[in-house]
Amino acid sequence: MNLAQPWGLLALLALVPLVAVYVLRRRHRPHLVSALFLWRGLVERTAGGRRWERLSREASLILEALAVVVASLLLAQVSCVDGSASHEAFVVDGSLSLSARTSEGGTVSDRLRRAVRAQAVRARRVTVVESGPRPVVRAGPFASPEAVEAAMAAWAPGGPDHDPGPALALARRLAPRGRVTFFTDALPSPGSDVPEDVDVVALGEPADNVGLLFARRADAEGRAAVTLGIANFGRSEARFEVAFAPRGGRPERAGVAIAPGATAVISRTLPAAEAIDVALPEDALEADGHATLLAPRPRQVGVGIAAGLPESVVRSVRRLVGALPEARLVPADPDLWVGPRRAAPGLSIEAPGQRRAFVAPFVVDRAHPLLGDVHFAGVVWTAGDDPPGQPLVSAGEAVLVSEDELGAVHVNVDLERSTVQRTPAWPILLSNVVRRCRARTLGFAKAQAQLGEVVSVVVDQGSDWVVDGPRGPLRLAGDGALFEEPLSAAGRYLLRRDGQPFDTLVVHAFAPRESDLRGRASGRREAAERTAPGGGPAPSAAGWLLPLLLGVVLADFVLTAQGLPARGRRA
Amino acid sequence: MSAPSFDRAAAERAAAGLELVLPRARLRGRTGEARAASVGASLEIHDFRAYQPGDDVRHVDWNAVARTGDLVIRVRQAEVAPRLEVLLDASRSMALTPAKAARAKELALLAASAALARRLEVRLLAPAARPTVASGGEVAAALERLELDAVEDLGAALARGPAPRPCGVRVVVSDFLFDTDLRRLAAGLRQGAAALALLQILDPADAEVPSLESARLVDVESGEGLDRVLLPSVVAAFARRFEQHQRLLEESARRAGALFLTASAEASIGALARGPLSPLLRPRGWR
Repeated sequence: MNLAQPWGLLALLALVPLVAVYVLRRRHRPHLVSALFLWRGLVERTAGGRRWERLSREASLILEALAVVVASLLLAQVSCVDGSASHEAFVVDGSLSLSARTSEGGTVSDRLRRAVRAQAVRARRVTVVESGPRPVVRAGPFASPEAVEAAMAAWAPGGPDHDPGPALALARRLAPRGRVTFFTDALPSPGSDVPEDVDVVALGEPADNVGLLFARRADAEGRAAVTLGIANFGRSEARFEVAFAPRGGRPERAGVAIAPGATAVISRTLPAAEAIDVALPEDALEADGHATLLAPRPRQVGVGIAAGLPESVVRSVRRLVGALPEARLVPADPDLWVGPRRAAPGLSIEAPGQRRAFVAPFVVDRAHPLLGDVHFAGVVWTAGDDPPGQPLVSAGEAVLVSEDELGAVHVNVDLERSTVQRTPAWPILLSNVVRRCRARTLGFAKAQAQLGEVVSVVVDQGSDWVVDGPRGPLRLAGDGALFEEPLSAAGRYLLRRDGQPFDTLVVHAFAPRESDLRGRASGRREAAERTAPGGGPAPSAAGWLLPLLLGVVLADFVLTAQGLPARGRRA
Repeated sequence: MSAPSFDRAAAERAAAGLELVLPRARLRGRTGEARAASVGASLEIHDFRAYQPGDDVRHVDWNAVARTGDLVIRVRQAEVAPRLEVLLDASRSMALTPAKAARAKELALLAASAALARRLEVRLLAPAARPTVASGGEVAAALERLELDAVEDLGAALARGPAPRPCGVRVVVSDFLFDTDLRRLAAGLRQGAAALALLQILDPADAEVPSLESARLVDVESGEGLDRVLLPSVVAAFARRFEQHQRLLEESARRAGALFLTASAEASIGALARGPLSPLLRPRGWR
């Protein structure tokens, strides 16, 4: 029997007052009578002739004492565990290398499923945790072997290289006194972070593998220049062909030869199709030999210049936008309006009213993301009336740059009477504004990412946003940029807005550490310190103790109610 | 409302206009006005009896003393004045409630006052470890001073204390709620008395069952305790026993030729005098 909270047994102290009350009640209240001899010899008998009252009192005491004991066990979280019903925790490695093929024809993950199933049957109660950038409980706690088998059938490893420590720590917390077994595809190297009290079951095997390291595409004039980085994680030279398949176009192939342990970069220019699929020959690890390169979307910020700005400002803005690859001038419907304050733009640049000249240094809010790398050393700044909003840069009482509650930036400057535009601070400040505007563009922050990368997605309120990915749909809620978990599955992610496709993200399985299967192996490492197979806290004892407690209380109530005598009878 | 206490005036008022009913039986007593069945001094000795404190020493039969060594009184035929002896149970049960104690004393005073109205010699005896004895006009004062706190019941106290005087009308005021041979008690009380009246004073508390699930019943006199669970069967059994005791008492009184009357401590002494005690008391001058 295990007690998760031994202090709960202190409730047994309630037996003391319980027995004391019983004894005191038995002593009875004294009552003076003038003819005690008339009471002598009268035996308490019910109509049935049994000594019911004494029996009911003692039985009531026993039931109440039993209720105290049961309540104490409940508080102490007792669990009955025998050697055959222990609770174990399994940690399954969720990284991409577990999907590698084996010499048997299946995958390492298939071996892992069989091993987990067999051990789950022996353990009877299991918690399964999948390791990854963030550990996830796949089955349990205290799942049955059947539940474990169902969870493992749906399990598909494909995550990035990661530290299994958090998952192992989670497993230990869930099974503090049970065995923790780490199922992976390689034994931990000496000095690794796998704790000594964890059993390690390695089910991998060394294999040669060729994998993509990177894939880039640059479109120009209707042609897409595709560049690939390929590594040979094998023991011999790899000679193969890379398949390039533009969607809707004619596929092409390129021969490659890579020495063992070496990398190669190949380039190919293809028709600029919407998507170009790149594929390496099938080998031990399939996922790292494929890439889909989507036509680049510049995701440029359209900058519009509103009327009413001084010519010096217009020239400066045009010059800046022309230099920024992420911005472009648009005549209408811009993402960022630049104009005078009265036009309610996203960026106002003007100095209305009384002019005042200031010389740096100024008071700058360095914590603000727009000003982190902006320095105004030696700047002469001529400002007008203070702009609205929170000051970001100020000189004395004068506000030089501010941001209002709508996020619009107001630069209070007369460029014709200032020197700021001749310093690096000026283009940096304006490009920060443009970049921030770009970051607020709805959709994925990028079109292409790698396993383990965190990609933000910008959504707005009022629409139903859903991401369809390799692991199923994910509904998004919020307003603005949402930073999701590290991408743990390669494949295509489709962002839908109100059910309609809005944006696409392709996640590639470019993970050199996962692609390198040369160090994989099978084996077993026993835990250096094995905890007794008590399994930790069993399923909550409340499952049977609570009904027992209620039953005891009910029985005592019935017994007491039946034993109550009539009151106040007169002779 | 203050607890009822011995109302001497009420008892005397109740006794006013009333006199004790004397039995038709032959009376025995000292020289007095009533026609005695015994022979007077002028003719022959009718009877002898043991000397009682207060007797006239001139009536001591010295020959009997010489013979027996005991003080013996010659009772002469004469007009004998019957004596009333009021035996008051001074045990603690008589003071179970203040009302019971008050009624008991008032009953005793009522009988004494009614007897005095017929010019009877009255003697009060309250047997106890320190018995109370009073005569005549001192009875009322003695009753006022008397504490009903004896730990012995009447039967035991009588056996230990001074014997009731013979040749008198004996009125015994008690609750008779003690464990004794009632027939023997009644017979013993009847001995040496021309007439015997047993006045039982009872309070509702005497027969009351505590309204508790269980209780420790403590005898008010001895302090002995008894734990009882007050089941309906137990309460009913007690009621039956109480009833049986009452019947036995009544029968014992009848066998002893005694008048048995029961008075409730809840009633006033006046109501008792006009009601339950009417067989013992009658309007003065009524024949």
